[in-house]
Amino acid sequence: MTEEKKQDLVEIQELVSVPHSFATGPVMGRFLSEIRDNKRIVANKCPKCGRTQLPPRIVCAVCHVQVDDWIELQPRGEITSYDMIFIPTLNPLTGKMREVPYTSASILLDGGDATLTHFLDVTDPKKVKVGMRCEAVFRPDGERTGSVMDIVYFRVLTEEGSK
Amino acid sequence: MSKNRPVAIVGIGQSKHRGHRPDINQVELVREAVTDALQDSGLNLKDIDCIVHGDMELFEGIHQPDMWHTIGDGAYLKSGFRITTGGTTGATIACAADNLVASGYYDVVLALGFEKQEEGHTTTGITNMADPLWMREIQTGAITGSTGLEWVNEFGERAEWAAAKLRVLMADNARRNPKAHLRVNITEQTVMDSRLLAYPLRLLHMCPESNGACAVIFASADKAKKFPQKKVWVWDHITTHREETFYRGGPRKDPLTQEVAARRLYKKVGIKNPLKEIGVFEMYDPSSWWQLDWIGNFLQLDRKTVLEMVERNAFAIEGEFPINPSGGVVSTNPIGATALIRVAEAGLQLRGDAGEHQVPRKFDVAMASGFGGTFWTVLMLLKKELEASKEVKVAVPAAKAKPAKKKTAPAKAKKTVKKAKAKKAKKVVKKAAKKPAKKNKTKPKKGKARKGRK
Repeated sequence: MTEEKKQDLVEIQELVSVPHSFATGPVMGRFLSEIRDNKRIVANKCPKCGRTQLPPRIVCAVCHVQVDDWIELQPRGEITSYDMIFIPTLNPLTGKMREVPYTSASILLDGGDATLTHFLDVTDPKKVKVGMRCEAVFRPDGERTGSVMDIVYFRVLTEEGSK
Repeated sequence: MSKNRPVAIVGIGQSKHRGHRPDINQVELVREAVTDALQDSGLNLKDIDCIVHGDMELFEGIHQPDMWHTIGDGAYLKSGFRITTGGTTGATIACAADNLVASGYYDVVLALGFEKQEEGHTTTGITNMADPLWMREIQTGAITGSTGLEWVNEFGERAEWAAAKLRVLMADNARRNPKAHLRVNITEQTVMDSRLLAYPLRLLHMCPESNGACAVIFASADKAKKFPQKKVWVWDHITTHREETFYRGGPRKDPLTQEVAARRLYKKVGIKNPLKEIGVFEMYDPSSWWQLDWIGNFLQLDRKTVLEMVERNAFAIEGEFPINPSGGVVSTNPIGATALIRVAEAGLQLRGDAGEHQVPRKFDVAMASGFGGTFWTVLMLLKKELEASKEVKVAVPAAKAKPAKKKTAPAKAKKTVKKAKAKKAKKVVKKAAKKPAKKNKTKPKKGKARKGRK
């Protein structure tokens, strides 16, 4: 008498690791160079509607005209929206789990009307509110490479510290 | 712009959506949905002219999976299109199928959406959608609580209980839907106690990752007439993208795509009062907070009204305006299929075939929405009947043979006119039949002067 063995299900495992090198183009290239070389945040301004864009792009997203005017924004501004993440997820760029909690935010930088997305240094829900001000903290000279992480995070300013 | 010819949905199929399907591979999963749709339609593979295939490639890490899937979806030796538009994929393939049939190039098109999410890594897929020059490092896949935060800032804890109540409603509905993935018995307290992901978004607010596939068959009116299953009709659809949705500038200066899509589509088809004129809405709800937020955008209601309607359970299956009788995306989310499931479920509702989760009232119009990670919205309206008076204005030579008065002619007069025109229409049908003939294995029927009848 033969016993019917339940069929084993076979699973194929695979790990993919892909190296990438992305050209930034002249517009984004300028934006990142200003951060890397001068700790300056710049945006471009549409000649037709006056809108600023952050990060800058080659055309105005609304008017579709080429944007050649650059303005400098202050490296500080107002928090307009934020996400405080409590659940660890895998960062596919590093292969490591993100440390939680961490806060990503949209910041309306002084001098323009566009928001920049980055991290905040505060991860306590009681200590952050929309409307609070924050300021960019740059990596030290020599350590900046021309990438989003040249800014470590935006430091939330308390009432005394905000301008 | 208007459609060249009306398009019907003649078959609907879904796999059983599950968290784990180690028992079959992707090809076999796709086959489940296609087989289900063929059975539902009473058709054969040979009746299908073209397959439109969709999923989010990065999730399974397979480039051009439609090539691998030809055995599973029956695309071998047929025309095929491949669409990948993020979360909207399922809705976009429905729109594409509608467009392809309406164009006259294909008579019967199968739209197939699927995702076997457990085989890849969802967060990687979503992260790779962000631009590599800035956002990719900061983006955390689909987890975001900023919308909920706005609601809590405005309404306090009341908003949290409303989101929880919506989640419970979706669970109650999903338990009435045998195809749904998460069919849990939860209370509002369970939702409020579930793990915090990104304040105020909690684990239970968030859609799951599901493995599943969905197939919907679209056909021209001529073909549909001969097919055994009840037909429902694609009325119209729209896709909206808006650059400024990513502004995230707090108090929103610009409307979201949901609002714009609804406004434009309603205007296009002549809907003045969506709450009254639409009978059921299968909306794409990636989280309970977004469901709460977008209901008002789609139905043109302010937030306070939406809160009140949630609190009196107006969106229940037996309620004033049923939303997601299927249980929605928070219950079932095989991403490439998810938006197509909205269309499929809307179609089932119109047909009266949704079984235990069927909306009990009579209605003529159903709506389905799709949403994608780049924040665009696809919105589709389905109708139970296509009135004769709504004959589309056609610029195709074949149509010129018809009398112009058809536009306002009552149904009775049409019948007598029809007979007299039988001869002329014969020639017309033959001509039109020639185009798709090469794709169709079956011989085009001649002599049926029913081209104009809807």
